[in-house]
Amino acid sequence: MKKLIVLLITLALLPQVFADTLSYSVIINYDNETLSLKDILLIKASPMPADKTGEYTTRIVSFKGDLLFETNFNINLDPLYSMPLSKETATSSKRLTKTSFDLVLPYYSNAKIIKILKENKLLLEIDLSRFSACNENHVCDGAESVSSCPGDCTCGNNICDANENYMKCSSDCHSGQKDNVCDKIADGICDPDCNNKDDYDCKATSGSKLFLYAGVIAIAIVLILILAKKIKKSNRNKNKAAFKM
Amino acid sequence: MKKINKIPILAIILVFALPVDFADTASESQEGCTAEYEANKEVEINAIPEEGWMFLKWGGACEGNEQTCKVAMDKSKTIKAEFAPGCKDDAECSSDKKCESSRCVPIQCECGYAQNHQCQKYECCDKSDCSAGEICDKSANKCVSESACREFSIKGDPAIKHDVVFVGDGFNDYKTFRQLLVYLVDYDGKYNGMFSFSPFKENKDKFNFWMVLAPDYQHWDDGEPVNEDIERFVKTCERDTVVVISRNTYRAYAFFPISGNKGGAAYVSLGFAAIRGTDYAAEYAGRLLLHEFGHAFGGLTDEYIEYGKGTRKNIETVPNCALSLDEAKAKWGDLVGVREVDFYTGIPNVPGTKYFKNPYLSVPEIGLFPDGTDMGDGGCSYEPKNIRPTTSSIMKNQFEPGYDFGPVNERELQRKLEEYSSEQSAQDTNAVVAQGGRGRRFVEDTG
Repeated sequence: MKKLIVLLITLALLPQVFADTLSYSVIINYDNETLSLKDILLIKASPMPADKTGEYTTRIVSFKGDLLFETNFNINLDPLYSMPLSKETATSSKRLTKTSFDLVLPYYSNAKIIKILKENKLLLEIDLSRFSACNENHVCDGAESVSSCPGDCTCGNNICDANENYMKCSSDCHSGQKDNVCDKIADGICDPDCNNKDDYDCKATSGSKLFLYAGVIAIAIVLILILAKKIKKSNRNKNKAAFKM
Repeated sequence: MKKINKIPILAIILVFALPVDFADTASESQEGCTAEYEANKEVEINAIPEEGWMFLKWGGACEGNEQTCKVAMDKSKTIKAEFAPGCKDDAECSSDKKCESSRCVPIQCECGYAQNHQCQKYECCDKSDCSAGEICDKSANKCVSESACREFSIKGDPAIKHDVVFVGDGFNDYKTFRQLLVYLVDYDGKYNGMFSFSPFKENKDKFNFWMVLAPDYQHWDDGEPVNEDIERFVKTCERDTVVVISRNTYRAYAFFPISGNKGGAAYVSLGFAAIRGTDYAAEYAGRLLLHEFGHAFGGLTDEYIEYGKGTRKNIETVPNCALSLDEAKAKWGDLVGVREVDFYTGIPNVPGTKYFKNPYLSVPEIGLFPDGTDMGDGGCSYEPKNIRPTTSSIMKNQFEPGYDFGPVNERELQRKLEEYSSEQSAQDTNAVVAQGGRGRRFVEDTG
């Protein structure tokens, strides 16, 4: 039983313990101070942490031009050899002029470009558009959604935003809500954006009011008539009494 | 004749939301009807709107807005069904809905989201939507490359562990490669492997180990691996330090961590260790790995000298070698006297330093260098005039028995290890058992 409980707790915790992170795996060729992209792909792996030391700088920039991530790094061209064991293995000694290295950088859905600089001089730009899910153009287009691109897509955020109405986004703007659009939906709620003619619910409401007003007037008339009759009867009795005297 | 006990009367009144227009648009059925049912039976009532109308909700003995209502006939009941004019086309509905049977209904998308009254497809929702070698990341609905690495020993979340990937250069099967790694990693400290020495043996739980076969790893004519080929095998893996384990014979080497990256790369030649025999290789292969790991993980430099090679650049950044006495004092002055830590050079009579002459030839084949020095004399980073903290260590001669990293290197390695957590995860495994699972990892094969 105890093992079962431990197993259940283990299973419950597992997704949190191994929360996979999305990263760019960027492989870059180095050839005598010239950089070029060898390969880039999305992987499920932890990104490298940001570091402020190193002569090269990597920046990830968004479509809006915001800096999303920055780290520095060095390119190591000097191998460190172990102490040789024989004459034939003692000869290696070289400084690389060509190599390649990889950077594992954090993924951003709104990332547009990776820039690699040395002493503020741009050495390489890598386009990230094909990996992006949010182009920050204030239009909810392509495969953008409220989760991937909350700046462009607002439908689904449970707020009836200024650019939304019931016709565009019924999940945020409900029928009968003030949203500058008369939705004409017959749902028992008179849309405040409608004229009485346009929304059946408003007509129904105004019809009911008419009946209510008519009823009140009718009751008032009846009451007045009864009151008048009573007054008339009372006056007649007074006259009779006066006549007897 | 048996009399049927009937409970009258179930009345259904169909009412429009618009009483004013009721008379104009009402058809025969909308005037309502009455039906009789046997007592204590359950009756199902369906509200079916005419074209252009939609069912709104029930009233009376039924409630809700489902089109079907069930009532138990325990007494006479009145049921009210409210209808309203419905939509004619999608344009009358919101962007995320469509007009279906005169009603605006939410659009259900199997792999996408509703926009402009139709489903917009995501890049992927399942592995089958992606190319070979890719899986679908459902948090972003993007195809991502599948990890090529298998688990050797995973202690927890890669975000808080140091992930070491072993690349099997020339290895064709995981069984053989895994067995070799058991000796090299050496969880039980039996084989002079990685966890036989401080500070690694006290920090076993801070490492995740992965493995990947590279049977066709490229080599130069001299037998050295092509450095760049490493990415072909590890680019999809969790990785901080990558260690290529080669069957080829070459002088093992490593690269410092790229700053920002947590670790560098090490190229460990088993053939190199086997030059003096397989028994020698079995005993010292772990120490060779430790020497290269000291470079790649700890950023430690070599503590030997090598004629004509010239001092490495950036010595001021390494913790175990110094260009001057002041620099050496600043780096490890506080440890002088601890396990024979001092300031050792290969130059006699330098004030404040100790001259160290190696009592035997480090590599008998080579003999002494033309200037009379030996690789094992005092000095470091290839220069006798440089100052190192101990007479010998794993960073000097990896094959010299009886030496460990020494206090200065151990402190630096421990400082690096502090960046990682010992926190154990639920999927903790021991050294021998490779794990599958976690969805994206390969399940261990039998070969």
